[in-house]
Amino acid sequence: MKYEKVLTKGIGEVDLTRIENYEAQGGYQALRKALKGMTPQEVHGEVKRANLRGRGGAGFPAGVKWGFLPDDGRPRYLCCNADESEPGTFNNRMLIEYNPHLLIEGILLAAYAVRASRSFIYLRGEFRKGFRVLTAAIEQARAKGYLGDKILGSDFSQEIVVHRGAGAYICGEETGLLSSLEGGRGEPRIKPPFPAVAGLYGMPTVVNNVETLCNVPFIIERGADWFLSIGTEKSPGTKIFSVSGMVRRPGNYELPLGIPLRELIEDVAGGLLPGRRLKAVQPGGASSPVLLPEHLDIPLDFDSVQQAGSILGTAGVMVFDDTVCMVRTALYYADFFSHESCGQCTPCREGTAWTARLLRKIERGEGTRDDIEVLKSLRSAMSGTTICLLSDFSITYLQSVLKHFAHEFEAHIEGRACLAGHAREVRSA
Amino acid sequence: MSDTVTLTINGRAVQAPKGMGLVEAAALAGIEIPVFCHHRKLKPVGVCRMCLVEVEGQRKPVPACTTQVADGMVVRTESDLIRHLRQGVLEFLLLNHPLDCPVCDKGGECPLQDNTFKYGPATSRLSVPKMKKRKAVDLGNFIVLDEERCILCRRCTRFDAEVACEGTLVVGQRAHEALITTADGETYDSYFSGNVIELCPVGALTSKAYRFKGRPWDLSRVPSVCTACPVGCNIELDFRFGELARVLSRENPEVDNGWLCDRGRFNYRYVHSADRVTQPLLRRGDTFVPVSWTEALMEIASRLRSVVRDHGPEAVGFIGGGRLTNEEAYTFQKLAREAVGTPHIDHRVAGQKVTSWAGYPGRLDDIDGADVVVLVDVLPAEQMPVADLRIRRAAQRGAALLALGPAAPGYRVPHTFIPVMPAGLARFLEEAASLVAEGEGQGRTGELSTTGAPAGPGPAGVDGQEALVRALRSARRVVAIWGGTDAAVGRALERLLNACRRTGDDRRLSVLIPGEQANSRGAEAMGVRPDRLPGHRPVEAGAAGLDTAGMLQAAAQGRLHALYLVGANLQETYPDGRLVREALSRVPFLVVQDLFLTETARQADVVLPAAPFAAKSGTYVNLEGRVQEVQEAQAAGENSRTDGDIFRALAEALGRRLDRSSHEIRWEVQHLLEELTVDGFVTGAALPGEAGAGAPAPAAGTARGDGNRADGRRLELVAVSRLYGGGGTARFDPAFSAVRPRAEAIFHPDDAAELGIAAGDPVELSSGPEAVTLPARISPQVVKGTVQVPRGAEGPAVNMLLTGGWHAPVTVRRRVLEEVG
Repeated sequence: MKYEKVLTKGIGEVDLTRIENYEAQGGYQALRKALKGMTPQEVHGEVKRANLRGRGGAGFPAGVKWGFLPDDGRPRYLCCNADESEPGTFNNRMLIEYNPHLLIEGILLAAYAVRASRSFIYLRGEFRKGFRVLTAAIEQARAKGYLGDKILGSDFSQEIVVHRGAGAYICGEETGLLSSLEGGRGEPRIKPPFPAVAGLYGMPTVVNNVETLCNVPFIIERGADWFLSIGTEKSPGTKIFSVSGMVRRPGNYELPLGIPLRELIEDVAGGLLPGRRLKAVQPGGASSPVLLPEHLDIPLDFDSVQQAGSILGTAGVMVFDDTVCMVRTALYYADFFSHESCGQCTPCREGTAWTARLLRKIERGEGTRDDIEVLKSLRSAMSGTTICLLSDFSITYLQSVLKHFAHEFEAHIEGRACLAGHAREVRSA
Repeated sequence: MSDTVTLTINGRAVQAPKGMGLVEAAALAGIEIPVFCHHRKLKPVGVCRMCLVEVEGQRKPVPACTTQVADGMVVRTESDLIRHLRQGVLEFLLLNHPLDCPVCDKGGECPLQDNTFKYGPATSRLSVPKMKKRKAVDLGNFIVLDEERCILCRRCTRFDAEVACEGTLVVGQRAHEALITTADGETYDSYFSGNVIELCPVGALTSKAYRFKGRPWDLSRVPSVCTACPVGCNIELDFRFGELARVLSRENPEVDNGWLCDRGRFNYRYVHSADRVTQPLLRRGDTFVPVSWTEALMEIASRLRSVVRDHGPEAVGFIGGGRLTNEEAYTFQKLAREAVGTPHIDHRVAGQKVTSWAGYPGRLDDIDGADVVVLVDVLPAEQMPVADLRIRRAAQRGAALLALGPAAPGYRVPHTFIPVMPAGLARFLEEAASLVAEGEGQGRTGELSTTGAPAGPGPAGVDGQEALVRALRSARRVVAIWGGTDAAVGRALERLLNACRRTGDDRRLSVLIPGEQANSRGAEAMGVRPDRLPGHRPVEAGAAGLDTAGMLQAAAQGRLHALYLVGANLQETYPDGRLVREALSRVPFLVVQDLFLTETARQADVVLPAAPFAAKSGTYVNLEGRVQEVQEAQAAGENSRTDGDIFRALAEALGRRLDRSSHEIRWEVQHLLEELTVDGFVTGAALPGEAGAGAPAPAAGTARGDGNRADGRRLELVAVSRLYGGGGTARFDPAFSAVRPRAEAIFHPDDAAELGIAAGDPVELSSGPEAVTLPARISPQVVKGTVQVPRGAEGPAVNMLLTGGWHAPVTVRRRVLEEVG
C-alpha cells in the first residue's frame, strides 16, 4: 500500500464495531492520554496546531472554530454533524458503520477540549444501520468506562445523545441541524449570531463533521507534527475520497490531501471504463463546479481545487465520461436542490424550482435561448441573497456546465439528438 | 452612554435608538425599505429577502429587518444591486402567484401589488405554466386559504406562535411545496384567527364572511369601538353601499395593540339579519301585531301610568343597560328614577356583582409589565379575549401566571392552575393573605422556605396556596383579574392585595374586572344600579331599590307589576332560569327592548325594536375605565330606533322631557365622566359590603330542595363563559351561529368512569324538580368533582339548575336508552 491508512485502518479487516478490536489496534489510547496528562487547553492547542481543516466541506480549521466559544459560564454543546446527505458522498457513513468507536473517541476528546457539557450526534435518518452500530458502540464504551460519569477516573464526564434526522439535506447545514435537533423545522438560522455564540438552545455550540472528529484521536495520540507531515502544507492530513461515476472501482479511499486528481481516478479508482473518454469531474459533491480533463493534474487539496475554479467540498468525486449528458446532470441536481430547499427564503424556494423546470423543458428539447439566458441570470438573484448557502450552491454546478458545455444545451434547444446519445425521454422526477 | 446611534442611510445621517431594526430606522428618515415578511409586531425572520440592503463592510447584502442599527453603520438602500435584487425577489414571488387580482379580496390594498408597482419588473419571464396549488383550503371557523396566492412570509404562523401563543398554524412541507397548514389533527379555530387576514400581505388568507364580497375602494370606512366585550377594542367598520361588509382592527396600542378577537371581527352580520325586529310589536292574545311607534309608546305609557297609579312607582322595575352607551345608560336611569319614579334599576343581567372597583385600579397595559398575573374565577380568553393576549405574552416572557377557580383556562403558555371550588375561594384567598402577611413578619426577605412541594394541578390546598404566596411575595408588579361574581371573594382578594402592599412600598398592584357586558362599567358609573346614583354616588340609606335578583323575586311573588328589559335576554343570561321563568310569566306588564325576538322578548306585552351599535353615537367605558367615543356609522334602519331615542320618546309619552336640548344629556355625561376621571381613567365604585348598600347576594351554591336521588351522584355544576356563547348577536348571525357552543356536560375522566359515562352518553343533571339532559363529553381539563357546562350554549337551558350563581351542586345520572326513548 502506497499510503498509510489512518481513519480507515482495520476497516474491512477486523470488526471495529467490537470495542476489543478497536482497543487492540490502539483505540481509546488518545482519550486515556488526554485525560491522564493533558488539560483541555492542551488538547485544543494540539488540534489547532495541527491545522485540522473541517472535512464537512468548508475546510475551516476546527481548532480555530473551537476557539470562538465565549468563556461566559453558560453550558456548551458539541454537535457531531452526521447528516451526510451530499450526493456522491459516503465517507462519513463508512466511518459510522465500520469504525464507530473512532468517532466516539473523537467526540469525547473534542468535548473535553471545548469543555462541552453534552454531546450530540445528529445522524442522517436513513442511516439505520449506523444508528444501530452507534448506539451499541456507545453502550460498549459506557461499559468500559469511556463514557458517562468520571471517565477513566478523571473529573471529565460526558454523555453522547444520538439524534436521528427525518430526511432533509438542509439539516447538514449547521444551523439547520441545530433547529432540527431542538425539535423545530430543519431551517437554517440567520448568522450572526453564529453557533459558537448562540447555538443549540441558544448556548455556545461547536458543530463538527464526523470525519473531522475522527481525526482528533490521531492528532492527540501521535501529535500535531505527525499530522502536519501528511498532505500539503495548508491542507494537512488524509481525506477519505468517495469516488463514484464512470470509473472501474468506485469507493471510499483514504489518501493524503493533495493527491493529484489523475492519480485518484486512473490509479486508485482503476481508471475509466474501456473505450470511454473523460468528460468532466465533480470533485466535491453536488454543488462543486466541473473540472475538465485539463485539470487532471491538480492536487486535491482545499486551496488548489479552489484555484482551479471548483471546491474540494466533501471530496465526493464524481467522474463523468463521454456517455454522460451534461444537461441531464444539471437537471438531476436542480431537481435535488428544488426538493431539498427548506423553503424559507424566496430566491431559493422559487429559484431552485424555476431552475429545475427550465432545465426539464430544455432537456426535453422544448427550451429556447431565452431560457438559457434566464438560467444564467439567476446566478445574481440566487447568490448571496439567502440565509444559508443552499441557494448559492444550487446553481454553481449549473453555471459551470452552462459555460463549459454550452454546445450540449444548444443541441437540446435545437432539437438535435442529445450529444451524449441519450434517448429524449427522461424520467419525470 | 447615549441610547441613540448615528448611522448613514443613503448618504444621510440618521439618528436611531439602539437596538432598532434598519427598516424602522430608515422609516424615521423617511426612507422606505420594502418588506413582506417583516411586521413590526412580530419577531423579524428575514425570509422574504425583499428588504436586502447594502451595509458597508458586509460581504453580502443583509436583510434590513433582522439587522440592528449600529453607530457609524453605512447603509445603501437604493443601489443598482439592491434594485436588481428587489426585482429578483418580486419576479420570484410573482412567478407562480396566480395574478387573479381582479377577483382577489386584497386587490387594491395589497402590499404585493404595491411593491411590484414601485419596485418590480413589469413583465414575467416565466415560460412554463404556473404551478397549481389548492385555491380554497378551509383552515377553520373563519379562514379560507388560497395556497397559490401565499408567498410564505410566515406572518400568520408567527402571529399564532408569538402573539396568540397557540402554535396551531404551521408551515408544512418544504421547498416550493411549502404551505401554510395546521398542526396534525387540528383546525385553526383560535379565538384570534382573523388577525392573520390583516397580517397577510397578499390575498391568501381570506375571511369566509367577506370573501368575494367587495373591493376595497367600494368601502366606506368608519372608526368605531367594538361592543362585543368590555375590552373595547378599536375597530373600523367597512360599509359597502350601506351594508356592513367587514370589521377591521384600528390599532390602539393601549387597548388592543392592533389585534381583534374573532367574535369582535366576525360577529357583525346580525346587524343586517332578516330576523331583526323592525317594527314595534304589541301583544294581542297569543300573537304580536306590528304597530306604529306612537301606538306602542302610548300603550306603554298608559300601562305604566296605571301601574304607578294602582301600585305606586315602586311596582315598576328596569333591567339592562350594559350594552348601552353611557349617554343612553344615563337616560335610562333618568327614565326610571325621574319619569317613572322607581328606584328599581339594575344593569346586571348575568349574575355579576361588581364590574368596577375603586381599590387597586388596573390598566390593560399593567399586564405587560406584570411579574405575577393572578386569575380569580375568571377565564380571560372567554371574557376579555384581546386582553388575554397580553396575559399570554407576559407568561411567555416569564411572568408567573396563576389561575384560581373551578375551571382551568386552557393556556398553552406556562401557567399554574389551582383548582378551587367557588365556595372555598374566599377562604383560600384569605388564608393566602394571612400567609403573605405572616411571611413579612417573620423575615426581612419574606421568602418562603424552598422545601415546599411545587405547585401542581392537584386538589387545591397547601401546594397551590404556597405557589400563590411564593409568587406574590417576590412580585413587584401584580395584576389580579377577577370575575366579579362573588363579593366575598372580592373582599378576600382585597385583603390579599393589602397584605402584598405591606410587604413592599414600590409595588404596583392592580385589579381588572371584565364586566358581563361591553359597557357594564359605564352603566355602573351612570347609576344603572339600585344602590348607586350617577357618579357612583350611593343612594340615601334605606332608599336603595331592588337589584336584578330582587326585582325577579318581587315579580315572581306578584309584587312587581311592570318590568322593562333593555337588551336583556334574561332567560338565557341570568343564572336562575326558574326564577326568570316565574317572574316573566307572573309580571302583568312586560316591555322588551331588543334587536331580536329572543325567548324573553316573546313573552313581552310590547317589543320595541332597538338599533344595533353601529347606529349609535356616544361613549363607552371599558373594563379599565377608559372612555372611548363612537360616532353614528349607519342609520338605525327600518323602523328601529336607538335605545337612547326610545327612552326619550317614552319619557315624553309619560309627560316628562328628560332633556331640554339635544346636547344636554351629552354635556351632563361628559361632566359626570370628567368628575369621575383620575389620570385619564374613570374610577371604579367601592366594593359592595363596605358601603353597606346593595341587596345581599343570594346564597350561591346552595342546593335547591333536597335533590338527592338515590341513583345519582353529586357533582358541582360549573357553568363557564364561552366567547362564542350567548347573545342574539351570535344566534342571529349567519356567519356566526355555526360556532356557538352546543350544550354539553363535560366530566373529568375519573368522574366519568365512576358514573359509567362514556363520551356522547346522555346524562341527566338535576337540582330539585328541575332536570336537563345533555350529551356527555370527557376532558382531563375539567376539575374532578365538577361537571362543566358552557354558558349561553345552544340546547337545553342549564340555568334552570342554578340559583343565582354560576355554580351549584347537582345530581348526575346516566340515562338509559329506554328513558331517552
